[in-house]
Amino acid sequence: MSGSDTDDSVQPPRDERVESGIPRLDFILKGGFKQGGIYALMGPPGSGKTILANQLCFNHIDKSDGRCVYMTLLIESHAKMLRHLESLRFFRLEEIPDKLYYISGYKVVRDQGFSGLLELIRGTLRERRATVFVIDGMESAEQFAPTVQAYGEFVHSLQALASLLGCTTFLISNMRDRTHTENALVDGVIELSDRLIGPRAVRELTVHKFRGSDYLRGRHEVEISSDGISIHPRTEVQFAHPGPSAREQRLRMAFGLPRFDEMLGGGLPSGSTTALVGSPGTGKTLLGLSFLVEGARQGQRGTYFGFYEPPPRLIEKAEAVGIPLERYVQDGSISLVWQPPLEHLMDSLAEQLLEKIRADSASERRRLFIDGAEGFRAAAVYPERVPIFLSALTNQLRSLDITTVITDELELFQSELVLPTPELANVAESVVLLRYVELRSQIYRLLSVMKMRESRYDTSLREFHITPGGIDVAESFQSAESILSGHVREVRAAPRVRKAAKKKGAATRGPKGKGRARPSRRGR
Amino acid sequence: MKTILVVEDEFDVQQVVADVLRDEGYEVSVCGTGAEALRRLSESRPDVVLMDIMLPVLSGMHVLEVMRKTPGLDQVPVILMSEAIPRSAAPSLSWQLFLKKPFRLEQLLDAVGRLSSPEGRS
Repeated sequence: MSGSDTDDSVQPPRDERVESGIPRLDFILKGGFKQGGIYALMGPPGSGKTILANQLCFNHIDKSDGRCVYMTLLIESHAKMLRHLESLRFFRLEEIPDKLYYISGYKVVRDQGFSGLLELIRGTLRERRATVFVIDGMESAEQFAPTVQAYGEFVHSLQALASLLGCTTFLISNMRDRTHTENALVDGVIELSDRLIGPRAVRELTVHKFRGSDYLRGRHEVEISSDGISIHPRTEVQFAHPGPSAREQRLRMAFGLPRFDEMLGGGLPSGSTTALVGSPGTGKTLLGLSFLVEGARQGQRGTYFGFYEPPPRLIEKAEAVGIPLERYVQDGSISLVWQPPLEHLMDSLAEQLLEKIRADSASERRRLFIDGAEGFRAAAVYPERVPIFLSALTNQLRSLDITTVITDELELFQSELVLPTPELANVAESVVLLRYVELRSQIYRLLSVMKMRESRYDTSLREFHITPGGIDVAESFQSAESILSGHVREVRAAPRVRKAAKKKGAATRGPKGKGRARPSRRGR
Repeated sequence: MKTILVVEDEFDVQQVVADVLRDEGYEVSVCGTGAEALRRLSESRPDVVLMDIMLPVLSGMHVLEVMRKTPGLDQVPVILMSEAIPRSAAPSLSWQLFLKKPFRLEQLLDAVGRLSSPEGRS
């Protein structure tokens, strides 16, 4: 019987992959490099090519018990290169020379041309039984090429040799044109760049070509640290296909502030995102911490992810107004993750946050408080990415069934309500606004729910106080009304939201309330 | 005049080592692969071999192994050099001295001087 569709004696070729082991590069390449493939790695000096290639070799030895040959074509001593590498954590001198073997091909290519160089490579790869081969400094080889065709033939011969020996080969060079001969011949082209964008120096990795497999296109942030090189795929590309959304049965996640929770119909819907916006000092952080503490009281794990206040300050601040944060931090119910407000990479921040969340995956109905959105905004190299980034991040948090509160800071003095991250109001199901009002030399705080998707909510403005006893929200809108109907000089005018979100609540009367909060003279 | 065979694939190291040894009055020949080193050794016997471990085609250790099994070459003193100190090897793979790269001029001249003198070779 021949030619049968059911003939299973013909096996499809196995897609053997060689993992780089470089954080998230294999994710970008959907599994790593193809075994026996040949790849061009190009970039300007200082972009991390040599680090990436060496790190890949050490990882390959460690994970696959592989054998690597690293050939330089530059007039540069290996001793100097290794001295620079030895401070990096992946470097293990004990693997040299048995598993990682450094040779130079410069003199051979200079004296004997490509035929001599190919002979040297063939002999060395076979003798060392190499599974990964790196040639560093392909531009040197090209300089010795009598013609473009000769150089192309050399790369072609390398490709044939790599395939025959099953030895995955990397050709490292300084920046090349995308249409360069070499790039046309190889199985994949990866570019590392190092550019100044405004005052920031930004390293990025771009896969331009990868035969026989899908990959994550576009630029991805590159970080070089004492661990070596790591890649941060763009969050919006990484989570382009979010998993199924959170469970159907949604709970209400309360703040532990009865009157405010009433306004929210019992609390925030589980698995949703809420934007908490207000000027500095209006109480955003305290409200967010109340949300985490109330969750911890109910046995729900919480994470604080912030940029401005280190954990001791945060605990001190919360305890001063009667929010028992320290107890829940000590018993592990609440984790405080603080990123000092330095130069960050936006996607790296998202990874840290999500990795932290996933580490607590055993717990159910988790809460997250991000303080604040401006931390991500400040880390954005490309501001135009922020909307889609936030959308991808919040989608991912939703699919993990995380109930998220994220603050965004309004300017201290502005006559209109202009959201600094307007897209946040689009991606968030709920928006809560905190603001100041001045009346007779006294500052009052008002709170209102501006938006709450697919949910009933109280549209009234409420006065609230922050006292050593906690956050006290007025039981009705009347105290707010009395403030607003007096001779009010507002620090912030009644908001006219300049964005696409629904205008709700600010000017709408809620149900008649009963009580009236006494204007407090207690400042914070 | 003492003869030194320098077996080193790195062009810059090969050149500078050969030049300083010539300055010191040694007769120096150079080659860049293990296979070529064995060819040279089959043609003439140097007083000292200064050899890198990580060589193309055949490693320095492989060359040393062949040398120690070849009458006439088995007693030629060998200085190995590399970025990594060689670990346990077969007792037959005896080398006389090891230079860890990068080394200083004094260390190089001291090592070659010790092995090219009559006492050093005994």
